[in-house]
Amino acid sequence: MLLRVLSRLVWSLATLLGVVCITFVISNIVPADPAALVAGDTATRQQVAEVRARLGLDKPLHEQLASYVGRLAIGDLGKSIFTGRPVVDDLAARLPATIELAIAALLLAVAIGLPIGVVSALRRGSLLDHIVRVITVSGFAIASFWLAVMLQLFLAMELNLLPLSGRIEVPAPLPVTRFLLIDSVLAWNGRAFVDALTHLALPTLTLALPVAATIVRFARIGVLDAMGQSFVPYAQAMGLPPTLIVSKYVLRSAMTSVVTQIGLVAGTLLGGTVVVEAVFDWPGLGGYTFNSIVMSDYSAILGATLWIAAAYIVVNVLVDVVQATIDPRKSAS
Amino acid sequence: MDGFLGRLARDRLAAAGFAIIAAFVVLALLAPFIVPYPDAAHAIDPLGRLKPPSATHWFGTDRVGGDVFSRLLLGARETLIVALVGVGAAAAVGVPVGLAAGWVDGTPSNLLMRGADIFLAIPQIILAIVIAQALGPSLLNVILALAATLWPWFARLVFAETRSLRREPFVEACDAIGASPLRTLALHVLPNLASPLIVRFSLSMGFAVLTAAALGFLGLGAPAPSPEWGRTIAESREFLPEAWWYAAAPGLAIFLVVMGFNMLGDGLRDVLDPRARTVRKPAQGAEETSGGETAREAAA
Amino acid sequence: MRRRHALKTALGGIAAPFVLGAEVRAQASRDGVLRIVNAVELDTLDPHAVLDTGRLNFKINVYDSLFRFQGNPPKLEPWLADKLDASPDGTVYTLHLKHGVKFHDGTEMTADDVVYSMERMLAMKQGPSRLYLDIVAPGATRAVDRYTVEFKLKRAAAPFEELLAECYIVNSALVKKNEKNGDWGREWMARNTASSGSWVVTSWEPSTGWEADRFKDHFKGWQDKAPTGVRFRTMREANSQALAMQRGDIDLFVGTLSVDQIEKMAKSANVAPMREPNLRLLLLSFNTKKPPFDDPHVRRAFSMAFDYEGWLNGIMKGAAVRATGAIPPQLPGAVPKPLFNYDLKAAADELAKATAKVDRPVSIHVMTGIARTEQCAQVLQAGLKSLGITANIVSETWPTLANRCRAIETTPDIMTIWTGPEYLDLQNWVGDAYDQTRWGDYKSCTYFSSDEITAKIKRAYSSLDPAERLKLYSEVAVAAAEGAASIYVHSESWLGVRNKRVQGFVFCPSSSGNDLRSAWLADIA
Repeated sequence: MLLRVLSRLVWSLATLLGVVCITFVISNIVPADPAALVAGDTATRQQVAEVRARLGLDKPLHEQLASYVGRLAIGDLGKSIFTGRPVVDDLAARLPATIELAIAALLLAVAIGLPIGVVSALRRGSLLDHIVRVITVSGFAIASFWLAVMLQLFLAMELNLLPLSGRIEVPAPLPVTRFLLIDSVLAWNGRAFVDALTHLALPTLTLALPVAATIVRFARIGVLDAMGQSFVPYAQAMGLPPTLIVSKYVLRSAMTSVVTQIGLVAGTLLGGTVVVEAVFDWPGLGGYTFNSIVMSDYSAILGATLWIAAAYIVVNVLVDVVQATIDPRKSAS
Repeated sequence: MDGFLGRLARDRLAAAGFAIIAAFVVLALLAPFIVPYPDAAHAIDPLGRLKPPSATHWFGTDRVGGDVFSRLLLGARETLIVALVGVGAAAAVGVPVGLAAGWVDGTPSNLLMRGADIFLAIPQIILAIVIAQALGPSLLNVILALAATLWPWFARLVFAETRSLRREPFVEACDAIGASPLRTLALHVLPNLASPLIVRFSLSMGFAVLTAAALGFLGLGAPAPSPEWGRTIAESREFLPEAWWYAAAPGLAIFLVVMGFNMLGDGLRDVLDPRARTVRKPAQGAEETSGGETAREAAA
Repeated sequence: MRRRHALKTALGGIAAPFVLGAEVRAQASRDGVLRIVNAVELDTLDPHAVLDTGRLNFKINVYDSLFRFQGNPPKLEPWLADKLDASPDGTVYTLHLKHGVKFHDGTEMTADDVVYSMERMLAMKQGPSRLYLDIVAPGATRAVDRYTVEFKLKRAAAPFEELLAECYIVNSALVKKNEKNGDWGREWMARNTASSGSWVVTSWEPSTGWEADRFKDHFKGWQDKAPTGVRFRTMREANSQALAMQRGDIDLFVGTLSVDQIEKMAKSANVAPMREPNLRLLLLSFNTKKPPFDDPHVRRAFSMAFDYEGWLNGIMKGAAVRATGAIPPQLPGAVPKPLFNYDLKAAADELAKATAKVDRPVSIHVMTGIARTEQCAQVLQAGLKSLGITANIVSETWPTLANRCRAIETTPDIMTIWTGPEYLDLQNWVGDAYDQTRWGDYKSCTYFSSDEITAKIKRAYSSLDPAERLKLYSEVAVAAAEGAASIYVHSESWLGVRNKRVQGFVFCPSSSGNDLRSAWLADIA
């Protein structure tokens, strides 16, 4: 198993390198000129050229790429052309917000999706099952940005139940983990906790619903699959009570099915946050990525995309490992 | 009526999906001829802006006075073109790559699929945004972004099938009698791929519509005065909650169309490829059930 | 029984955060802090790095400049300066600095700080430097004594006093301590302050905003009930801003608001809309060196394809009036009447007279995220369509757009642009725009000029006779209007909103409402 993990890691690194190259090439086609952005609206062409030289943007592409990869190896993601701060700092500042959002959405999606999926499979063919099937299909069809806007419209604007955007309004608690919920508990700050929670609600809901639909779908398939396998009739024949069958054997198979998909889903959660963060003005990685792209901030684009890709790859490797643990039979490669 | 169409018709969800898509295509193609305000794509009426739904404007007017209903139908046309061409291009690239990678062995094959993996390692929407931004906001660039994001799915699907088919006796027989690989691929492998490919195509259309709308929403699609649905939703935000119809209409349209494609795709899969109902353990590079992609699709 | 109890607890548990949330929000407004929302991220704290309205709120509240425009109509008042004397030929200026002005670290401001600040701007060549680069040479500024500074100019510059309103003074000792390899503290100053202004920065996070406490020892002193601090929050979405205003989470909004948004926000009982005269023009500027826009007939035709009435009444809803030329209508020297009106037939006639044919799609460049520019372009686009001309709208961020104006080849066919009161002198409106030695700057993006025009501008710049200056600048403005260098769309009022607890706020066009000094809070005990 160790060999398997190692080989996956090696492939992952190669993939990451490929991601760097592709993103680097693509983001260098942009028409905007970051040197001009830094030099300011009022600089002359000469001054812009000076800035360009200072930022190293006048060297040929492959040289720039080579030096970038070199610096990557020592953990230097470069400086954001726009803010002048090291990209690593920018990312560190923005990442916790996205992770907090992603985890909250994932938890909510699982909490909603898993029970519904299992119950729907157990009552296969019933009205409930049909309704669930329709809802899950719908879940995949809703544009997340539209859902976000509609939720804002009803829950925030019309009913005034939840804040419209942002992460927190009252003074934030001292940054320990930079997860506002945790930090406010650590600081025993009820006000901040409540405020952070209400701000988290809408973005989480928006992200979670489509994911929940997926989880319902796969929990359902997993349960159906497991119920079709021979050990279930065997267990029934042996006179085991139904609840025992469900909880022990069927659920386990369902879990495997869902766990595989959670891996996929977690990775795309990170991608999906771009739109959600844009709509809710959430100060996270997704919004940062989008802004960097608009401003042609190459280092920032590369850094953010790398992190997201790395997160996706890591999650997939982890899922592989967990899957192998849950069901060693299926891990035979 | 036990033929393919019969089975399809009996799956109610699939039939509903087909009906929706058929309606969508017809309306989209006929749009310029049937809308109440044919020049709504570019005409403005500043004094008549942001009016609520009425007899003259069924869905009200937008921020420059254009008829929302007409623009909705005209936007359907753009959506259809973008999705169709985008997915078509993705298939045009992905299928040959998958065939090649599945047929040959060793490094070329690994390289090709590793290339696909790289594109898949970047979350779809991010990749689409980077490409669309790099190339500039236009319909064509949205199509290119879609093609670049979707081709790996086709490649992987085709790769897995080709790989497993390659070991089949009848294919080995073709090899033995000296048939050229191209011929074998075209005459024997491809037909077997038809079913999963069609399913994949339909589901990808849904994803394409969503992604194109997301790009339009973020301002990376066709510029003003394009009636594209995502862009319309973005424009409408400033005027909520008063002008709720402005955002609700295009959003519902997106929802219905994507639902239609997904239902149709699901139905097609149930009818054409019953094997796919069960969860297949992913072999190296093989595809999970298409629900896996829909997870990706949905989160975009 | 138990189930109902459980249900009630559950409901209570769900409702509690929201009730508490409302409590929490109400609490926040009682701190004596003035809360303002900002649509633009503040990405640098260096006052010498930027010159634009978006980041003015920081500069003007955290730093001080030598002079400051106040009131509406704006008047130039000495701020850090006590007095400015000019030599008879206008090339040597002697500035007397106020005594006892303290920096935030407690040290006193002296002439050395002023000299250092000017030299720093010239060396960094960013932002405000373009106001001084052609008239102040490096090393030409010196401290005569502890409180007196001498500026020796390359040639006479009539607007010099006004230009000093943009000369922000930094704590030279502090900056010098943090210089790295002779970078004038560029790296350090991007993230730190060396300031003397009304408020002291306590925290800053680009994506969320910045906060500052009142500087008790500020040389201007403080009025009763002045805010104890300010909080600027970055909120990009118009809806978020509107809702925050309605719910009392925000006290003041300074930025570009549409009438639709104001109406929305004003529905709330504790919100008061504000409308003030302003000195801001919206233009659709032609690149007069790019065919077919090098032909004045084409430009005139385009000027008559814009539905001005529809724009002003329908979209701007009366918050703007017709502009007549490059000079705002309320200033002396403005072109008396608009020269072109919406007349598609006359436009077609003009096109027929043109030698250049419009046989390709034209592009109108607008600013990303600013709906007003997009809608303006759409109005022109619709008019052009009636003439059979296709116009494509290209949306770019302002920095990208400004950058395009560095060279004729990259400057767009048509672009939306605002001209505002960087300083009030007519040089700002006319001179910077039509002087051919200033090409490469976004203010002169039309490239409309001639040797005669340039000569007039240069003469007006150095002349010390106000009547002559007025005459020369207005002649240039008329020439530009007749030549349709731009479509002079409108002169807009300033629209703002405030929570009713904010009193005394005075809008000054020069600072676009970012000067908070006049405001006090009614609910401070």
